[in-house]
Amino acid sequence: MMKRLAIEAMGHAGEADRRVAGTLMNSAEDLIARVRAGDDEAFRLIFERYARPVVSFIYDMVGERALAEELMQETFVRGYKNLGGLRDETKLSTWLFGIARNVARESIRTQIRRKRQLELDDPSVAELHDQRLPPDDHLINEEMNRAIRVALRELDEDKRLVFSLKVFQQQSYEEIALITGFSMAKLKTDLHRARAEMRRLLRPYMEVSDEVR
Amino acid sequence: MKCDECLPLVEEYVDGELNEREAEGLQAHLSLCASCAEAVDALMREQEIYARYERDIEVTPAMWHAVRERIEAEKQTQQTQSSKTLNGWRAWLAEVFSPNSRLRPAFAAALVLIALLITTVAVVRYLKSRQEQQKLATQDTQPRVMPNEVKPDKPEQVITPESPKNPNVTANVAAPDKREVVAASVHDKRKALVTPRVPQPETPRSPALTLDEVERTAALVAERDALAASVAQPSGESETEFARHVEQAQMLLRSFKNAQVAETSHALDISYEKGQARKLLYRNIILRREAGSQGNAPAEKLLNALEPILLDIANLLDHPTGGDVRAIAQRMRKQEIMAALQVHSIVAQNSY
Repeated sequence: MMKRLAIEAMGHAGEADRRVAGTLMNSAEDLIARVRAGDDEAFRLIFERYARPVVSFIYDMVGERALAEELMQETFVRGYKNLGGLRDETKLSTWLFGIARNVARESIRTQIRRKRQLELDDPSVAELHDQRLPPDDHLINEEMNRAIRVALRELDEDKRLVFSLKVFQQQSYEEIALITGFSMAKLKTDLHRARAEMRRLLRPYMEVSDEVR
Repeated sequence: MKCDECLPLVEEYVDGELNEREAEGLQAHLSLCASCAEAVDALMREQEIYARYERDIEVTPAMWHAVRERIEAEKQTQQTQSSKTLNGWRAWLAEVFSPNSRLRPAFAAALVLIALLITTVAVVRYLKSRQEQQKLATQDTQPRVMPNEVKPDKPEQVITPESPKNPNVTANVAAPDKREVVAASVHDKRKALVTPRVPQPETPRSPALTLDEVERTAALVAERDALAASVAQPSGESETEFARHVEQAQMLLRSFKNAQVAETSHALDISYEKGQARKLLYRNIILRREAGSQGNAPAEKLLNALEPILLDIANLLDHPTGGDVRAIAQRMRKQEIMAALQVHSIVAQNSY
């Protein structure tokens, strides 16, 4: 995923290229200072830099695209309103993920029963527990994507949170502790158990993937 | 490192969270242990699968527009609310103060009452603070008896036509006038002595004076008057304050010196002197600044010399070592601070 992002960044031409270059040249501290001084263009640059990881993270947490997009917008609106409260020593990404986590959690609380019902009725869940899928090459990635998405929803909220931040967002343990408020011990335990659970749920697909290789 | 030590660290190793020492130890084990190396490989294969994970979601320009619109809407809402509040207040005030308003007399009366209340509270608090200040000033003038105190000898009064007290006599009176008066009174009243202490040590009282002694005394008085002229007293209200401060500083330093003299092998207890020194120190700073602003160089010089000694005493431990106390006493002797304080004390008393 990260590689793809990098390739995309390099492959853009024209205005997009300049925008990316401009983003990279501005440090987070500069952008924050400019936003606080009333420069909305600086906030747009912040949005461009962090929107994708934030929406990906929220999507991992809530599992619905439209909802994830809406919650991502909410995250950045809250971020804009509360930027004055961001302490200098806190990383912008850590802070934004913290807001995103709160936004996602609030949404999950209101939808948790509906989600459980959805999982029971979702045929993709039934498939996850079936025998291994036919080793169809061009479907491997698509099936794996779906399998990962569904498996994530099987994890409880804390494990999903830690797993998503570490495995998908590549945050350090320290940053995850700051975002989640978890102790290091809980974080490591949840991560280990999340990995084990995901391994169990995805074993058929991983074995298929190994065979294809 | 053994397998049972290595396996729990495999995930942290793949996550890049091990410190250098742990990572090196683990790598060394992996090079020798195939099963642990396989566990690491399996974990890294999992990571590769997750790295290829793609979500069915993209960030589009429309999302940024949506965010921007929401931010603008929030700003508008805030501005509307604040202007509503402001307009609300304006409308209410306009209504209250309008000629036809029924609330106008009541509101005016309420305003008058509030103004009266605020004024009353302010006056009461002012009077209270003045009373407290006067109380404190009265307490300060009470003589304090300090442990180990050696009461200072009262300097002999100069018998002059203006004595015993004449507030009109200042140190700026021309020396020759005083000299003549003193010489005349000594001739007339031999029992009255002028024994200025500074800079000479105390002289015993003598009921009868020889002519030599009288002349010597007159010379000493002249010297004292010249010194008094150089030791200008602070003017105005601070004059009393200054004299009181000098007297208390004298008593403190005598007490401190006596405590040092009475030193035994056990540690001294100078907690009382410390407290006094601290109080005098604060006052010393204020008086020094006042003297400086008034251009009173001699007073400022004295207070400047006194201040570090007060600071040293205030900063001592409650039970200091003999060495610490001796150091301060030596400093006092070197600066002749006791003598300087005594001069000022005498001059201040004679000024009255």
